Amino acid sequence: MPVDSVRRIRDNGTLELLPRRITSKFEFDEERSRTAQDLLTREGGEHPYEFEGQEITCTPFRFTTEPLFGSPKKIEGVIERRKSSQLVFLILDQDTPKPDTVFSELIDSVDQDLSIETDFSPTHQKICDFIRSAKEIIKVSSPVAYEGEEINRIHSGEDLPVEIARLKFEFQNDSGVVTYADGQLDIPLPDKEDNLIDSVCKGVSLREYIIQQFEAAVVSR
Amino acid sequence: MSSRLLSRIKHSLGLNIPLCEVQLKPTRTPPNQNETLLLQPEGPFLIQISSISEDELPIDLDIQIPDPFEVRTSSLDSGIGWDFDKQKLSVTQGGEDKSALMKTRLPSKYRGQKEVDLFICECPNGKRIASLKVRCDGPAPTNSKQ
Repeated sequence: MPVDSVRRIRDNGTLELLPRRITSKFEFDEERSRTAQDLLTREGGEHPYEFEGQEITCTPFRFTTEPLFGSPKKIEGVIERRKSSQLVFLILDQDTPKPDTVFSELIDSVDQDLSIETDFSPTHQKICDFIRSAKEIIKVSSPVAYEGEEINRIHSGEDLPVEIARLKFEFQNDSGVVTYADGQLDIPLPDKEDNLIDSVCKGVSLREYIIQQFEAAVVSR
Repeated sequence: MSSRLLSRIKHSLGLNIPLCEVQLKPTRTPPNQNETLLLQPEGPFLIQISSISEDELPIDLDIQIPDPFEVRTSSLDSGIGWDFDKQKLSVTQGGEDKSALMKTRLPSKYRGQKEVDLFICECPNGKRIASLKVRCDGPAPTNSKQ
């Protein structure tokens, strides 16, 4: 399953992040742009999507790993930049290497300042707001022992430190289970009739709906 | 003399207890390994900060770990800030206990068997107020001749 990992652009950072050239490890393809539609009110949400109309740019790439042992491996990915919320999503077609590794290699491999915050650190409250936006909270794991009461506590408005959450979202006739862990979202994408860039760039999709819920919880005031 | 100033003077003279209490807790290690943070290849841990007096705010806490290990954060209580470049936590609100969900990682190019200490130190005096062993077991050994 493709893996989404999220970072934020630094204050006043630029969206012109990527070199338009081939580096030793990265090969970039042509980017695509679209504008965001409000899927939250379309799905019956109380509050309109704060970032409606924001520009979203998706850049597909291939990355070649250089492991200490074994053969190099080529992975495919997409970098999605969302202009108003200043979030950057890294979508990889497999779960190794770690997104942190790919982000670090990306920063190392280009000359310019990428303006991506090295760390993404939302508050416990914002993470719990995102969890509460799900249709169903399947599982929550906290490093503090709450004796199995984590889900009830979050439902009742308490904000806990959360290591892992498994959440079910529904959008139109589609549904999927998302895992949040360490600033990383595992979001199901449609199986294989589309390639990765086609799946990510859809303006009306379960993934886009989940990302908008995430932005509303984590970025909005 | 204000209680805050008095506290700071006593603290700087080494006469006072730490500005706050800090506990470190590995979160994904076996129960009998709770004093050691295992990297696989990342090691998440929880920082719990208590006994925070409003008089002492803001409290800056350095996280010290030898290069090339680094510490990142996953989420924080409101009232705590994190500066990745300085590897520093800032507590800006007192009252209730605070927590920060953190992780240590060793970039893959440095992977190997290593054991180091992670310290939480008060700024600016450098007083160590909590520590944790961090262990990386490195890659599995390749097949060798018997």
